[in-house]
Amino acid sequence: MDKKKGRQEDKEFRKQTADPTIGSAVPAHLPEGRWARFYPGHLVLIARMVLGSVFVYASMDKILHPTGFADIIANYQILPDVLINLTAIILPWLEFFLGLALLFGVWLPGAVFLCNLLLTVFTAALVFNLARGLDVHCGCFGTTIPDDARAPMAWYIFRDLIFFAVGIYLLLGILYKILRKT
Amino acid sequence: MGSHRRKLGFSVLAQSGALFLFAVTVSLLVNHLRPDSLALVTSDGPVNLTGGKTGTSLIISLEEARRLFFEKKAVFLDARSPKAYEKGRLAAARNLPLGAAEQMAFDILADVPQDAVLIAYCDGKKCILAKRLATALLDMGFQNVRILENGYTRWVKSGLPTEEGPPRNAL
Repeated sequence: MDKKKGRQEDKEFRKQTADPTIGSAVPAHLPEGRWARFYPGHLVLIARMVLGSVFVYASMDKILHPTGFADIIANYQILPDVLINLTAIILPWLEFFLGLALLFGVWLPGAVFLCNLLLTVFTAALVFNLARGLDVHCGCFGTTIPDDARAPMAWYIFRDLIFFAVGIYLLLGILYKILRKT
Repeated sequence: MGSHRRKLGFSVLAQSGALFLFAVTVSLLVNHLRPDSLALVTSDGPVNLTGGKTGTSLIISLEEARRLFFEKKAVFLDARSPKAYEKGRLAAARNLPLGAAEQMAFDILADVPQDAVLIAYCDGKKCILAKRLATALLDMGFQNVRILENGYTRWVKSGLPTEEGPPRNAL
């Protein structure tokens, strides 16, 4: 009895206060929450646009040149040979659809989660290679290796961390709306 | 409450899974249809001359490589990054990093006679750069391509000539 009433109230509340920038999988809630001020609608939208565009843009060249991307993955010397080509084929498209999902606000919890997962893996791979002194071309945005105009790996990692921060911001935004309820 | 958490967890899993499956489907389909499609799996063993699992292996023994080196019948290609190349390489080896093969190969090998043996090497037992470089060279139409597995380490261990620093002939 209570459960049903609770769900109906929630539905009503959701209708009235639905936050279009987060998505309907997450019920909207008390706006005076402790962290609510960090998530004004426009800021969330900007974060989504930034991360979404980055992912879409990053995927383009890699979709166009899978062989070049496979070479870059091979250079990291982390994945076993059998997985390299499959990764070179699938990963760019995953980035592309994740970017689209963020831009259009579709399936946001899943998209934000996967984005953060990917960013974690990318950053870890870069850091791992920096630690073992292996000089790799990032391959983050393109597959052509400029001759000597390569940026130091520290810059790639720094850039990744910025994207990572945006990703975490969105992830926490999605989680917080739920954790807040407990 | 708990149900919201569960609902979110389920949403995350379901949506991630759906996005991933979608990406896998589209990517494999596009790859299949495109003219320059990438093989899903490269053969994980000796690469044969025509590409496939049977046939003569491209792998060359250290003794054979050493012989060709001293008879000056081979050109050694370092598949690693320029930094690794400058830190130490087989003497007179040329740098042809894996990622730059298509762009640089023809320039770098312009002065090499047709019958010379091209030996790709990198470093470490698990290093696959040389194998991939060899495959790329074969695809580009080069002949007489060989792979020296764990090339740099074994070369150094055998006390064979090495060098370091920037390449002797700037290309």
